[in-house]
Amino acid sequence: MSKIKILPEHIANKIAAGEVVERPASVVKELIENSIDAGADEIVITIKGGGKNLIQIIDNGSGMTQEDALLCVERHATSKISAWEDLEHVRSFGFRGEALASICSVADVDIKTRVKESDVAALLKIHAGKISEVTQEAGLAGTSITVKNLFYNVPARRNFLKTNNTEFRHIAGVMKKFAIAYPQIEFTLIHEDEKIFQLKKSDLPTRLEKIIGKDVMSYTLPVDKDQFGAHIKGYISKPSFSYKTHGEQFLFLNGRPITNRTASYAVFSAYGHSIPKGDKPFFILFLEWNPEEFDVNVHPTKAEVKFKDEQLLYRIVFHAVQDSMVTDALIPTMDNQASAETATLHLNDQSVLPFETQRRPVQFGQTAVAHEMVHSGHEESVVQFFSADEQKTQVQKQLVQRQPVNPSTLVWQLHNRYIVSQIKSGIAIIDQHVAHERILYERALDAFDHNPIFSQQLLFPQTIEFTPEDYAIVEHILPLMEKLGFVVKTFGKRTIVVEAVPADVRLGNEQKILLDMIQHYKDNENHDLDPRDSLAKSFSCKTAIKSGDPLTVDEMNGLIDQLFACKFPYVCPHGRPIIIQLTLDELDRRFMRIT
Amino acid sequence: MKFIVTQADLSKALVKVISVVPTKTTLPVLGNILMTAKDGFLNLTATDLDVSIMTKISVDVKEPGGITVPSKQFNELVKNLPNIPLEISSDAQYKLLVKCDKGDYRLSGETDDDYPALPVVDEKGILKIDAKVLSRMIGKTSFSVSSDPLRPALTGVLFQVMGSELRLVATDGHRLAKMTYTKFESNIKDTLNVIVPTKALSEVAKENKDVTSINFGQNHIRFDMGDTQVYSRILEETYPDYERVIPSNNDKKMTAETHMLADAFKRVSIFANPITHQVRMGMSKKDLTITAEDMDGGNKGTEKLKVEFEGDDLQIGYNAHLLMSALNNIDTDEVQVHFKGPTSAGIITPSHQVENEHQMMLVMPVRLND
Ligand SMILES: Nc1ncnc2c1ncn2[C@@H]1O[C@H](COP(=O)(O)OP(=O)(O)O)[C@@H](O)[C@H]1O
Ligand SMILES: [Mg+2]
Repeated sequence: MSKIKILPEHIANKIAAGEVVERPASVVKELIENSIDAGADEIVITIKGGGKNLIQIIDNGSGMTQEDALLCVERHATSKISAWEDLEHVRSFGFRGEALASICSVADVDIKTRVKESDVAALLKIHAGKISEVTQEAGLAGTSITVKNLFYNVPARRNFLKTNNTEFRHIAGVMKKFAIAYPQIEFTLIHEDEKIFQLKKSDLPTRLEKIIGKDVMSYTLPVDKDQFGAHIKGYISKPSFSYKTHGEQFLFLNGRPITNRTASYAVFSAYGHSIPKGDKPFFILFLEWNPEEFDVNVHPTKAEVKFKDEQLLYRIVFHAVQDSMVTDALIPTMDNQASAETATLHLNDQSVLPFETQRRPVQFGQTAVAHEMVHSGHEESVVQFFSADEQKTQVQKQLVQRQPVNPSTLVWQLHNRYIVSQIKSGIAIIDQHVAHERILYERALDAFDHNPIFSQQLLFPQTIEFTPEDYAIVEHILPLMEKLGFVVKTFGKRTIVVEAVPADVRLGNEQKILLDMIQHYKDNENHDLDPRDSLAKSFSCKTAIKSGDPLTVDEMNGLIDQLFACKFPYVCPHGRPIIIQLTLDELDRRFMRIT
Repeated sequence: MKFIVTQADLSKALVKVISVVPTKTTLPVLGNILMTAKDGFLNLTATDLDVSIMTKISVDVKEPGGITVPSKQFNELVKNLPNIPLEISSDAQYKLLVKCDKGDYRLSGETDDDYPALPVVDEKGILKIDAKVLSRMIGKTSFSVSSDPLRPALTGVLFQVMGSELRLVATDGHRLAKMTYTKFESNIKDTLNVIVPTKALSEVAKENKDVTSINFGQNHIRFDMGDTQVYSRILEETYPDYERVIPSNNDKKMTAETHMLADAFKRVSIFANPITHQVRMGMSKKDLTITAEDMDGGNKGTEKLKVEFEGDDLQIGYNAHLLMSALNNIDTDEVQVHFKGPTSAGIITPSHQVENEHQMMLVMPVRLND
């Protein structure tokens, strides 16, 4: 007798279920996807007991014939693709035909569905993966799927689930993504018999105002770009609002919510490193791209997508985001709250947030806020609802309006470190090192693409020896180095001779600067993905005037002029502020002229 | 200590030493000037430990002794007194008293015991040269030194004695200036290379009278100029082999009117990039075209000058500031610039050399990206 056995289908389904259905939120995700695939534009979700007791989704989509309904619970039953080639072009969420079968194997499921053409709806009752009852009754066109007793037959899973509130928070997170991606669909959420919200059909900005909040949206910049064969649109936070913790990041690929590290990094880089390392900008980006460029079929839940060319993805996102930021620049100020501490946007600060209660033994449905949301119909309440389901979004508030600094007035140097200048509204203090770093960083990027930096010939060419490892890097970036103005001859496998250096820069010790640059470049973990940016950073960091270098008045004025010719004059490539403004108002307050 | 001195004599002596007093120092006594009266002379000394200067004037010494006094306040006082005899004395508490006509001034000083002693220069060799010539040589080289602390050797001027030649050389790695002179007395047999910091040299260059004798020691150098001595620490660095990089086969020669050329550069460079000051020189048989363009600003300046040019046409880029500072050190009406190609050094010389002297400057070009 052979040892290998074909698993009975219900067991196979149960195993597959483990991959697709992890927790109530995954059921909600699969069911919403099906409703959207079915062309619904009204979806009502009802949850009880964090989804452990009840998940019900009612849609006004196409519905199924009784015949199809009987099939849909079978594994690999799908109406969405029929041939392998179709996989290349799928635009629907589903295509694996796994979700319903999986859900049915771990819960009691009722499916009630009616196509427009039919007079009656079919009602299927499924228990333990088997259809136990098929009847007909009156019903609306569309589909209603009711999932009860989730994981009743998988105790390990069931025990693994978190509190009702936590599970509900995950469900809300799923809904938030769909609500953002599909403003043209009405979403209603009912929890423990209370209507939490009803998001009417609208356009994207209106939907975002409701979900993300007017406040946060007012600190964003629109993105809209057609390039490299892809269209990308959405919103990013202005550079001056960096999130102390992770900002929320939404990326939709052809309407499908995904997470992707390359894309996130591209956004971060596009800020010209105008936000501190470790901070996450807030963004909502919709990427429309030819399905042949990526594969969503790498994981049953399809949350991860494999791109054919990650570098291309990087460029698409990077350039779109960067372009939208060129138009905006914000100057930090020393206005009183912002100077000392991090201010939290008010969406978080006064109200009791529904999901913060999870640590206390209070049921969500009983909190005052939930009641208020439902009964007052207050617009902000949806924002409050959603703002709590992810980490807190703390916003570092800086000055909001751009103020041109007039450099023609007096300048002087403070401790060979800061340039102080009188401006219309008070005084500006400029950090000379980071200011020069910003100038050189942008100069370097420009040199790569457009205007190479001129080279000053050296009287005494400098010989530099590298380790074989470093030499490989030097060889690799040599073409870029030349654009920066370094004229270098290579000898053997270890040695270079520097014959000319960038004319823009007061270099001095070329050998040290070059070695430092290579080291800095190597230390930048991202030099593979974006060698230009890395090299520009290393170049600017190592060749900029240092804190402690004395400057003449002409040099200071030259520096200020060039700084304001930069795309981002206010933040250095590493995210430190370049200019701080001390307004007359602030001075007046401190001297108690005004209170 | 007590002596009588005229205001004019004292003021002149103070001016000589005051510039050596360091503006910032961790050793407060260096902010003072040392005064010692003895044998009919008053010695004034200032030092920053690297460079020291001492000058003496004859005074009427009533009581010999010494004191150090805050240099700034003392100098201000003396400068503003009328030119009359002053009676200057110190008491046991190191108070300095200045008495004259109507005034009576008291200044807190300190004991001269705490003041650092002047270095002893163990004489390896002495060289005597006309003070005016030395001053000129310093002036025409020291402008080319580097200010980069990472290349200490280049922050000073190289004094090189080679047989019958005294050479002064300065370079910052982008340009070089060299002055050679052959009329001097010296007991130096071998060749000798010493790098002297510019701060000391700017004091030496102030002297224009008589003969200066240069005493080369192991670690220090001393310039004896009549009543004044300047001491300086020598920079213990290796000077780069500058001779190797001076080209000898520059076959293209431009001769131009010095002032006309310098003025043209001055005007055109207004339109150059404010950082690189880059200008382009285009030379053909009869003329020179100087162009500057600031790509960011869209500004452009051009001048066409009549010059003499021997050799094939040439386009070469320069930092106008480097060129102008070289031209400003040419005293002859005409200047010659010798070129080879767009990436090799240009050599600038006066149209004719002064007797016993040879002046030359070298400027490295900026590559033109085309
Ligand atoms: N809400 C719905 N409305 C209409 N058809 C549905 C709905 N949900 C599921 N179906 C049908 O059931 C099939 C199986 O669904 P599912 O198991 O999620 O697989 P997939 O979505 O990958 O095709 C779908 O292909 C679709 O034809
Ligand atoms: Mg599906």
